[in-house]
Amino acid sequence: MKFNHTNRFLSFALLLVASVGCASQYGHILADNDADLVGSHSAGAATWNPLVDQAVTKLLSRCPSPIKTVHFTDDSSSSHDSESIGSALADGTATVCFIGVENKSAEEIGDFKDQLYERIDMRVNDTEAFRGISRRLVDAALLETRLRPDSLFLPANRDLFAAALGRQGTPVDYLLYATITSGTTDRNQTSQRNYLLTLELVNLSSGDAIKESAEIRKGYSKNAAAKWWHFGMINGN
Amino acid sequence: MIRSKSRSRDQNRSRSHCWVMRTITLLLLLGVIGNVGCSTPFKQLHSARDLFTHGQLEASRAALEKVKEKSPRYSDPAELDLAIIELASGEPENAERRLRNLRDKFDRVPKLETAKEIISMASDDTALTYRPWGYEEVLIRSMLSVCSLAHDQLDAESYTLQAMAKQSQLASESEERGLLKANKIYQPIAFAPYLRGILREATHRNYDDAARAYQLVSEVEPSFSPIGSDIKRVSFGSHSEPEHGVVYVIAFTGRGPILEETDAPTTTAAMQIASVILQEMEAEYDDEGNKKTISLPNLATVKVPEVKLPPSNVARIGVEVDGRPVGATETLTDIEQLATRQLEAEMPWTIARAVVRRATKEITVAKTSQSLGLEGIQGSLFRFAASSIWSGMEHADTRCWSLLPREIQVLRLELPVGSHELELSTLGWSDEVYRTSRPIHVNVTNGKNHYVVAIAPDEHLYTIASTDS
Repeated sequence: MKFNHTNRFLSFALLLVASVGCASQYGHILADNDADLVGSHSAGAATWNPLVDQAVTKLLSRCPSPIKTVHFTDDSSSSHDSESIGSALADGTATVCFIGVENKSAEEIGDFKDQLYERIDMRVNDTEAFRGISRRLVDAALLETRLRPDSLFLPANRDLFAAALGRQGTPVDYLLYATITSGTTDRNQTSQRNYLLTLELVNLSSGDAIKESAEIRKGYSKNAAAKWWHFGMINGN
Repeated sequence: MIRSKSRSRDQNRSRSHCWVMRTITLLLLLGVIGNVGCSTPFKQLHSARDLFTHGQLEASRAALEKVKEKSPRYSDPAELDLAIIELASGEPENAERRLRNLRDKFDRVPKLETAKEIISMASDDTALTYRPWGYEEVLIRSMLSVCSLAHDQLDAESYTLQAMAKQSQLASESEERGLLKANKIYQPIAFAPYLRGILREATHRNYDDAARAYQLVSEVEPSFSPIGSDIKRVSFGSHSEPEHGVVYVIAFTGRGPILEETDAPTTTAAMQIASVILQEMEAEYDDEGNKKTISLPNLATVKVPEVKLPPSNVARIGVEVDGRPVGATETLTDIEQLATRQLEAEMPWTIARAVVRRATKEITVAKTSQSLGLEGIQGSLFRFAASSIWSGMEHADTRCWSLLPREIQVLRLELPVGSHELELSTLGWSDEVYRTSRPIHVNVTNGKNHYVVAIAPDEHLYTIASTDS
């Protein structure tokens, strides 16, 4: 088939129109019920947001309610579990100092880190059982003591830190830590990464701690065919 | 009858000859005009660089403003240079605004601009919209961070994140394009993660992020000796001793690489790429529907840009605090190396484009000559003159961010809380002192970072201290 001048002109014109179209960038507001975008190379909103929600809900569900209710029923396994955790937690509204999010995963989480902090902090503050300490006060105490967040696991450092917060007029009952870890499995050019968010609540007076975590598994493939081959056609988003 | 036919043929030939001569003269004239027109921004840019090097900021600014207004093809690189002038003049907020606009503008440039690609095939690569090189795009974001640090520090961290995201994007794009040794050529620039590291460390909370960033710096720039102690500090220690703060001296030393036109031999790799492009562009078919093969012109050399490093005596910046010498800056990023590596990576494509352009021009001239019915000596003369003049009007694309430094250097100073007087000096290769700045007063705050930016293209030194200092 001979590629004549008219065809050539038309194809150039089409390319021109296409390239003009490509020059713009668009943005739009997502509605509440719109799904989060799934990151193609790393975890994104679709991974972190549910992880935070699950982990915080699990942690808070293990904490005793500040208002005690009386039950006239026989013992059940769940109430027994709550009682044992209650021994590690003070009754009533407790002040929680959220130290921060530590990233031990294989990925750089970039601008998500501070958002995760705020999201966890807000979720904890939303409950009746806890009252959060301002991040600025926590920062000021860390600056004053020059203690590293990971060094606060040592009782002596914890006392020093609590004393610094106390001097600022903020007595503290609990320290809250969040840690992100990941585990990667590679198979040729496809990989699976498991993201785990762990929340650890430490009672400053007793040193007892409770831990809860949530996990999301994600598959990364070079193309849709590889995804279907390794993870099946209807699995996941 | 025969005589009149012969006379008419002679008249036609003579008319055709006149026409050819007129065309050649016109082409020559166009060539001269074109070359004169193109030389002007080069001279002005060159003069702006020299003025900047010798401390004449206002004159340099005026020259760049002129290029920006009068030469649309060179306005973007001139604006990049203007941002450096603004930073050196102590106007980091203006430099930040300008760089932010340029960053957004460059991000909006589509990857394929068909109309301009076609025009560039008839002229040269300067007809294309200016796109900064990969490392320049990362440095735009890093410089934005520096401007922010010297100004209100509001968006400094965001810019460092953008710089690192840009690096990752460039690395994956180079892999997709199949550049040879893509990972080695598009190495991350150590300056971007270093800035991120120092900002994350200053939060006293995100030592894990700082450790990651410094680790990346040590992988990219293992010769930057302070990075070992930086990693140790963020892994086991704290930002600074109690009642101490930190002053970072960020120095832009030397005259950065510029691009100049040179003749490069056509390599086999480039000819292969050109051949593939040309076959697709000019695909023609014979009567039986078979694709005609097009032979590439026999070219020995083509015009391409090459990296040149203007001479500069300054090696590093010496620092004195309260009259006591405390050290000198050390190289964190070698921009000359980045430019050379990038140019090497792009060279097969640059040469291929030049070859394709030359082939396209020769084909066009041959077809024009054919359609005009020029044969024999006239046709050859026309083809030779037209294609020589047309190709002679070509220029290699030497547009670049020419006021970047040769090296980015850093010195970290941990100082007790209170007011301190810093004096910066330009040092030569044997540590001889060329020039010392006026004293810079820094009010060190407990556990905080402060920044002093020094720009020393040569012996002359410009200094800017962060506003909180």
